[in-house]
Amino acid sequence: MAKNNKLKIAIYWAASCGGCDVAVVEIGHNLLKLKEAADILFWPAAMDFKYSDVEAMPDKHIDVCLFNGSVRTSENEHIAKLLRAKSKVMVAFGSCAYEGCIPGLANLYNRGDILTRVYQETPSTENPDGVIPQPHCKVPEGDLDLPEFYESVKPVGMVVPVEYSVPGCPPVASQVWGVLEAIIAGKLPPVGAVLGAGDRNLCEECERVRDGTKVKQFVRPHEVIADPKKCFLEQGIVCSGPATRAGCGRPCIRVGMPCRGCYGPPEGVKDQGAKLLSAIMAVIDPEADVEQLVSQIVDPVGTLYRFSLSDSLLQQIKWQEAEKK
Amino acid sequence: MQHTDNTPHSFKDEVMAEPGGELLQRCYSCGTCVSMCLVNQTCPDYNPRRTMRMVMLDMREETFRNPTIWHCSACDLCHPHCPQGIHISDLMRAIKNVALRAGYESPLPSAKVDEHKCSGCDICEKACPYGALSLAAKTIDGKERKISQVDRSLCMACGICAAACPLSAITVEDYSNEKVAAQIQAGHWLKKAKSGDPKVLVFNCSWNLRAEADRDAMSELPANVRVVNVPCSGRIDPTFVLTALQAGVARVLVAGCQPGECHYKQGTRIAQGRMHTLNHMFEQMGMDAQRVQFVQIGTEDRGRLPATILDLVAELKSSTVAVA
Amino acid sequence: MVDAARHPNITVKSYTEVKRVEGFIGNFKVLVEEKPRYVNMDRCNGCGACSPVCPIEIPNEFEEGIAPRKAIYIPHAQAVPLRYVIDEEACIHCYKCVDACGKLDAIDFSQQPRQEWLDVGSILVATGFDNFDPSVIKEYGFGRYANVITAMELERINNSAGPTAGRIMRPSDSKFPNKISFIQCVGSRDERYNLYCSGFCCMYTIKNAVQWKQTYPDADITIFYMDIRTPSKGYEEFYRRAREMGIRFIQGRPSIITEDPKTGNLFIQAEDVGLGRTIELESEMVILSTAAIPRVDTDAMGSVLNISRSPDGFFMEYHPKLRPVDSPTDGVFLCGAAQSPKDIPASVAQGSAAASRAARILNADEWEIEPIVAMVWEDRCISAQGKKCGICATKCPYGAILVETGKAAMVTAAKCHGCGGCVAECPHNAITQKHFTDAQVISQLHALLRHEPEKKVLAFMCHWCSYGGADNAGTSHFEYPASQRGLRVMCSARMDSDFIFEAFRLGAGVVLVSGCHPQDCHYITGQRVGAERFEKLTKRLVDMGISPQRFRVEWISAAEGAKYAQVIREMDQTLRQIDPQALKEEIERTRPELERRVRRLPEIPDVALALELAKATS
Repeated sequence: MAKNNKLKIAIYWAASCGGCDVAVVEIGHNLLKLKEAADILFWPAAMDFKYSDVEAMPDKHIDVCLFNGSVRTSENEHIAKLLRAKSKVMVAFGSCAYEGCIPGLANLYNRGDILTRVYQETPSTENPDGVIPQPHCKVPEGDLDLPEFYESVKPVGMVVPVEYSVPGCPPVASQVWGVLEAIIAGKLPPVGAVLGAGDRNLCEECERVRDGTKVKQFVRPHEVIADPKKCFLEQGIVCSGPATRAGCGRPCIRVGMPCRGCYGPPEGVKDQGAKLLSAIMAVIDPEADVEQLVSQIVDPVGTLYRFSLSDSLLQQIKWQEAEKK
Repeated sequence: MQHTDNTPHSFKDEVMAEPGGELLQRCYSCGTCVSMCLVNQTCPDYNPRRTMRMVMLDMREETFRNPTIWHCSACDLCHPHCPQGIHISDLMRAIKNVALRAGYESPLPSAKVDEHKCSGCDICEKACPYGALSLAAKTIDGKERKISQVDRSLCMACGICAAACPLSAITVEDYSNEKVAAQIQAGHWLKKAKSGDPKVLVFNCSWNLRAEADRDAMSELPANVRVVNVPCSGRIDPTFVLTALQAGVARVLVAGCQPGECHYKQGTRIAQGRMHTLNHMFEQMGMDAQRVQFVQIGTEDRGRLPATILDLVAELKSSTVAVA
Repeated sequence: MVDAARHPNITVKSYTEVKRVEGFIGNFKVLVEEKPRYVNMDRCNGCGACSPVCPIEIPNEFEEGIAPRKAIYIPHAQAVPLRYVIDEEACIHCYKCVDACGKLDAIDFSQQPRQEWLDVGSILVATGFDNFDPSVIKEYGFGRYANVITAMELERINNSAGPTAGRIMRPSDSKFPNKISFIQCVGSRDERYNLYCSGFCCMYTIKNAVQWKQTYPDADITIFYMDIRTPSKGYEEFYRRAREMGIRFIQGRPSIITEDPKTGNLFIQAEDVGLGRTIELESEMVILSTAAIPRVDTDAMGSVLNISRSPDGFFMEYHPKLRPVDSPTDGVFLCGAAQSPKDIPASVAQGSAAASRAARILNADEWEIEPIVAMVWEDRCISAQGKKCGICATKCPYGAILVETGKAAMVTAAKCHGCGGCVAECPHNAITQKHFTDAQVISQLHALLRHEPEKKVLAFMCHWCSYGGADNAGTSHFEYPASQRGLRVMCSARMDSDFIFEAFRLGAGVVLVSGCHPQDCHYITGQRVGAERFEKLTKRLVDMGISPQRFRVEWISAAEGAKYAQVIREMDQTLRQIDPQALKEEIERTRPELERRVRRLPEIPDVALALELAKATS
């Protein structure tokens, strides 16, 4: 354990793909600057650490914890609480931790559905006895405990309080380094802020041409050859840009894909999906058949709440209903 | 002698020279437009027939001094009924144009853009049924950006832009997000009535009730129903609906106008797109899709809205009794 | 009708259709077809034993569909003859009526349509009108709201011989409605449907209201109107009486009616124009005063009789002021609402007038016609030389020309009205029109263009419309430049292409051809003959190198003096804007081609002489 004035940083991955850890590595040579300024006390994705190492730390020992991944299992929750206790500042790092991200879309189904699907129904599964993993089981060698698979996915902020959030799936490298620089310099904004992103929406930085065309029909990106210079939405392709926070540098749009919304809602917007719905339906053509337009948005939840479902009002309503039952 | 030049010689000629003003003199004062007009119902000073008379009699200043000449929202309910085929809203637009040239301004409240929040994403410009919004370059905080700007003479304050703006950068006086929220919560209605009656929130467009009796009925609904009036169903951001449901409302009913009768042309179609997509999303989430309902009330649907609300209340009551 | 049927000199042929009309004034041959009644008229005594046993019930047209009728029925109580008829479309051939008829044996399913030719001297058209179907005016809810009915339905409900035996009840619940409203001008004075005023609705509505109020003094009656039109003798006094009786008149056209589905009551929304405020009035029943519209088969009838329709769709009279009961075809007369909506006194007056106009023909051995008829030069007609042509016959609006290959075309002078279309269209100049011969017109042309033709606006005018328009411009003091030179012919159909070529050959600055608006043509389709010709001519002139602004076609009615003056002013202006040197060059350049076009004119009788005289006097 380092005994100096260097910053103490922890990086953890809960229910995530690992992309956020890669995003940290992607800061490239700046890793050397990070190393100079800070000691990384815990980073299971990159180095070998034991949970016991963390448990052994005194409370608030870590200066900043970058927590990526959402909370899907009891293990995720346990570590989230542990790191919270050991950290002065907890950052929900990346879309999973911030708003549930793609794993959050699993909330369209319940635990039973998911386990059945994964362990019994997928074509690649061979499981003649239909065994489904259980939290506790007895084997000849003794009792086995596995982390519990929760009913739904939650962003880390719903399990423990977090000071800041960094959006993005994953956060782009330049923004990651920007956040780290701010941490190193001790220039963090007031608690609650979203770091590493702009305030307004992606359209502000989008270079595609908008000529005022209204939407006659909604199409999915693979159904048309989109004009590379024109606004996606004006071509009928649902682009999350209007309801997505700026700051990513438009990597998707630059390679010909509409914004999927991974940077979450802009400042002041509570519910990204509802706001996106509000915006795209406002620009429909006066001649178009509304019902047809509605039906053309195949999978509305997956389209409008691709990254933000578990942090949405829609999700809250579902949870409230489940609680009542 | 005929006029040999094109200079308008009178107020009447000036209006008739405007596009849409040509048919002015066809009006034989039957009053059909007036009695069809929903603005006239709430604001009797707005009388298109009388305005046309005043123009025909060259009563220029008096016409302009009537602040209601700006109230026509071009819903065009009157036009298909006019036996003389006069496009009254075009004519009102012609009068407004002459008034604008004479230096008069619309007294209506108009949408306001928060320039710091606005990103210039252009959604509002496409959403506005009146072409009242457009982008213009402006220096904000030392940086030149394209910002949405409101043409006051065109804005009808329907609030469609306010709902459409993904940054909540546009506000319409009296119908800001905060004021709508306050209307929903006023009197701690949601917390108070724990009496077991499920709560129904009605977002009602201010223009879909023609009959006095229906307007009265709307103020005599049971205590577990709250009606929030908005200028247009297109003002309803789905966020309002979800917020209300999350706060404990059992059902949200959004009432707009019948397509083709929308007071602000497009609002009811926009609301339909939003609310029906919400229905689909609830279905996808495995929830009762009917927790938000959308009805479109036509000018001939006497009694339909109050009856729909009461039916909804009765249905909810019987279903909760059954569960209990 | 019953009186007429009994008259020794009148034969009533009911259930009979006019199929064809041939011949001319005083000598018509009319083919009529009597439809099969499937009841022998001589045997049936009208006892009525058949109808009750008939199992079929369909809506009774005479009762406005309120009551049913059988498949074997008498159309209405005053039908002539008062005999039964079988509705073949509804009949299921159960033959119960045959059994009921028994020994009379009047029912005969073997009957076929029967045609016969009649010789008649004159024809009167008294085909009446139809009622406007108000269900197309969605806002009044007719057909959707049970208690919105038409005035005609009220007549039946109110009739002691009607389906309710005179007991007034409203359709939704058979209750007596005490609070009723009438709405005027339903489908008339409305540019969406019929622009004209139906004329008699104000009076019958007031009649219905007064009748109701007299029987039920407590009734609450409202009449919504735009203008009450009571211009005949005693009508205004009647209107005043209605007001004095307490019938409420509201000036304001209702925009919408809504229904309370629970009570079936109706809510009428209208602006009380006098008050300047929108009112909503609850009524237990609403009666729509529907427009009178032309009969559905007006077109078919018109083509059989060779008579035309005015813009409003009713049959057109020969002249609206001077010959209001004559049709454009001599010997065919119009009575009553077939010509335009009329009330009873006006219909009777016009019927009497038409009858006396017709009687003049019946009592005459000879008939004087206008002298301006067409005449064929038999030696010039190629049909006489065995060649196929017959263009003249296809252009005649009256079917007055008979063409048989091998014989010269023959004009039936009694049918010819003198439009001159055949004369202008004949490619061999084999027809002339008396008093408007080619020689006469060409002489006029030369006279009009004698001095400085390139500074003249030459205007061809039709007698009935644009000449009237020019006259109207004069009497109304609508000034136009003195460069105008007018040339009158009877119809735009007479304005021969050769005249226009000749005018340009003579160096006319600009040329106007003008005639009636298509729907106003005095010669039924004469304007169309002219219009088609001018369309081709416009292109041909341009091809010949004549600047397009030098030739103009305008339709100007006799009332459009201002338009006539405006057109002439514009054409004068156009002429002034053309560079004189360029114009001169154009005239010279195009002259050889124009000369080639008119080179055969002198072959026409008298034209060579006319040209010679013109040359001599110039």
